[in-house]
Amino acid sequence: MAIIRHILLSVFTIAVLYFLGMFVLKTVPYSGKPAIYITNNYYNWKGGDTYEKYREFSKTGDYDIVVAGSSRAYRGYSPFLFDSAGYNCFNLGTSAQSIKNTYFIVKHYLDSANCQLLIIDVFAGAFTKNQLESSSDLVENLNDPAAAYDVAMHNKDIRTLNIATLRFLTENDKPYFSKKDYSGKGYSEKGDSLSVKQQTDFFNRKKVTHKKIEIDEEQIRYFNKIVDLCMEKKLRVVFVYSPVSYFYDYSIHHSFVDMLKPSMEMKNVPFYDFSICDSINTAYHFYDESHLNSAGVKIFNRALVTKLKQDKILSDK
Amino acid sequence: MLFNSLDFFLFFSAVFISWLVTPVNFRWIILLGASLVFYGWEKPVYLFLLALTILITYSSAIKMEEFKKAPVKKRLFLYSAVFVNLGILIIFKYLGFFTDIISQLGTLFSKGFSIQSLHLLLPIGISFYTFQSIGYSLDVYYGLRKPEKHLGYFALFVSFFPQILSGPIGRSNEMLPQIHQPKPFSLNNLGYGLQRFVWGLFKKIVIADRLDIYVNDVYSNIPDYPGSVLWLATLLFAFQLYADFSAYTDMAIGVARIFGFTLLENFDFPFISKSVTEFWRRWHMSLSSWLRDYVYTPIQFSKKKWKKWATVYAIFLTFFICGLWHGAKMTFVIFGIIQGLALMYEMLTREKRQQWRENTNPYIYNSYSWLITFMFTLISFVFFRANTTADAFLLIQKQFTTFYDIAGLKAFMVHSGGIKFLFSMALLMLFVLIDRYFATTIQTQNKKAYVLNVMASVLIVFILLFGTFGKVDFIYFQF
Repeated sequence: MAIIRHILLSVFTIAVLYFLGMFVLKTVPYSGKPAIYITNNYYNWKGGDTYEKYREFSKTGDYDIVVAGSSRAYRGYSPFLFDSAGYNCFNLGTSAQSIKNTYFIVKHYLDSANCQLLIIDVFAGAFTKNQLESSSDLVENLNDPAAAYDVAMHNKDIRTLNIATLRFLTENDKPYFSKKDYSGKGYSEKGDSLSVKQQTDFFNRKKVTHKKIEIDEEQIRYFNKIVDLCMEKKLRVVFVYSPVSYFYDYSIHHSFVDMLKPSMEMKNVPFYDFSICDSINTAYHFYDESHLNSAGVKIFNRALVTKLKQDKILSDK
Repeated sequence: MLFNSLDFFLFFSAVFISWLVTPVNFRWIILLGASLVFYGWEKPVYLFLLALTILITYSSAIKMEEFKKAPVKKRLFLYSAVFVNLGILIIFKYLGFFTDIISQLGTLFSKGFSIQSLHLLLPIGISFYTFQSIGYSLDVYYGLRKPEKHLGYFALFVSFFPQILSGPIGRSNEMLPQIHQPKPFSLNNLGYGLQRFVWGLFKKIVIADRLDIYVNDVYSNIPDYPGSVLWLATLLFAFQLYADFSAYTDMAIGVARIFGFTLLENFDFPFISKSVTEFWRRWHMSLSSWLRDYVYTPIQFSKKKWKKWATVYAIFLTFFICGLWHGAKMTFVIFGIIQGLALMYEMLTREKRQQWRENTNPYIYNSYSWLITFMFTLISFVFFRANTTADAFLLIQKQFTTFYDIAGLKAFMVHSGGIKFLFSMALLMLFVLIDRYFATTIQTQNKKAYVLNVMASVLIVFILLFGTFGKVDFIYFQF
């Protein structure tokens, strides 16, 4: 009996103190936002492009193309360019979106009724262990609570559960910020070019040393699950590796692509590797090491549409 | 398998339930099986090395007992046990280091000289269980204990899972009698063990892993930072190392206590030391007492004709070994040597310092002694943390030439998250303030059960709210 009494007392104390702590951290402000945001890295503020785009996206809509992936997706695929080619497009890419989190977005937001073609932008960086930045953003900002709690429960990091609790406590709060470069339909546009230092490095052919990317087996497992889920939902899917800059660490590119290929080939899912795109120049078509600027997006998106049409994945409009 | 991982939580739950339902006399079998699974979790192949250490040490001890009246043969079996254990350690830990040194020396004399560098993957925990096994062999040799006849008990002594990866380095006289005793379940042990574990978990993921982010950033980019930032990073590293290693010790002691075992304590608030000698009585106590008993004392005894120089010689050799034990890198050797030099200085100036203490205000003397000791510890830790000797010397040089760069310090704080960095510093301050009270209260259990439960609950809430989750290895795993 004593052991049960001790356990119950401890569980009760922990629960009370935890919710009290969360309430205090939510209520005490720092720079107009709850103080919890200063207690840990990757606690994202409520708001921004993720908050806006998931409220703008209609689950009952009729999209020809939906894009998913990381910032390389939401900055690299302009729905307005696809629109001008005659395809109704929406971009569901979010910051550092891991492939595992893409799975939950497909699960909760997409089916064959609202999406004719799903383009998933793949990038080695989205297959690593560190998913906290992505999960925290989604848990805080997705408009579908079931999707948000699904992401939180599957992240295996208590910090996402804290964010889920915060989401519950800040349900009625307005978003704390918005992003100026958010252009609508899920797309964020940047017109800038590389910084002066990066331009100099590029013209001097100076490479930047990157931290070695380690591919996580769990992400590969979720990649395969996405393919199965799309088949189950009768959702047409293609994977695309969008253009990379001169600074990209190409050392693991081929082994990474080789890891994905068996599953895509077995299930007959097309893959387009635009990582090297002749008409894209790092100095003029990127605004930083990883992201295309609007000029680069224009070239890449046109090339992609042409390719998808050639392969009869998109019909002529 | 990390103590602060889901894998360990599941593993521990399974072991605890199995242990609980097994009759008391057979519980050692569960613990031995669990220890082997735990050790072989990442790389099962290293179980062969562990088995070799167990079998050689076990059988040579029995032979030493058999030949106790034939000193030459007895010594032969001691040497064989020490030779095999040290041999495995040298091959896996030091071979690469030695071949690199030979290669570098060779190129000084002949430009074309080169030998193959032999770096093998270091089996985790090898330095700890090797020292534990050698200590046992020496105890049997010196007649301090009878050899253990039960192979299973002996295997459990060497491989006991809470301590095999990072200690505390167990002593046969303290551990083997406990293995022989039946271990019934005790609610007090469970409560103590869980409280101790939670205290360790708090130190690891709220303090140490949080500090790791800043320390790693600075120590990976030493040329980019001024001395002021390097001082701060070294200070943070000192607390990171203490929080990390003492956290492992707390968790190991806690887990062991749940199964009825009492392990040696390893830390006694080392940063309050007022001399380097005192520091080593408070820091990694299981290693320093091992070195005192099996290295320092025998050397000093064998050279007793040298009088005080025997002590000087024994100190130097002991701390040279201490440095080398920490890792096969010149930085660790230098760390050991400067610790040894400081101890030699303290030994040789003891009388003069005693006179000075008698003639000085005790508050001033104690404050000054603490400050000097703490600063010395920080500088020696530069060698402990730096990736290379060149990095360490560059860092120390910058520490003394650009220590006044306050603008650089501010820029570092902003770059490290500004208010988030200050919040981390506030948590560190909190830890410094509560460390002694929490550690003593949990260790001595001098409060009522519900108070201890509330303390543990508060720690759990801090872990949940402010933990830096993610797999950061314990620093001492590399040794």
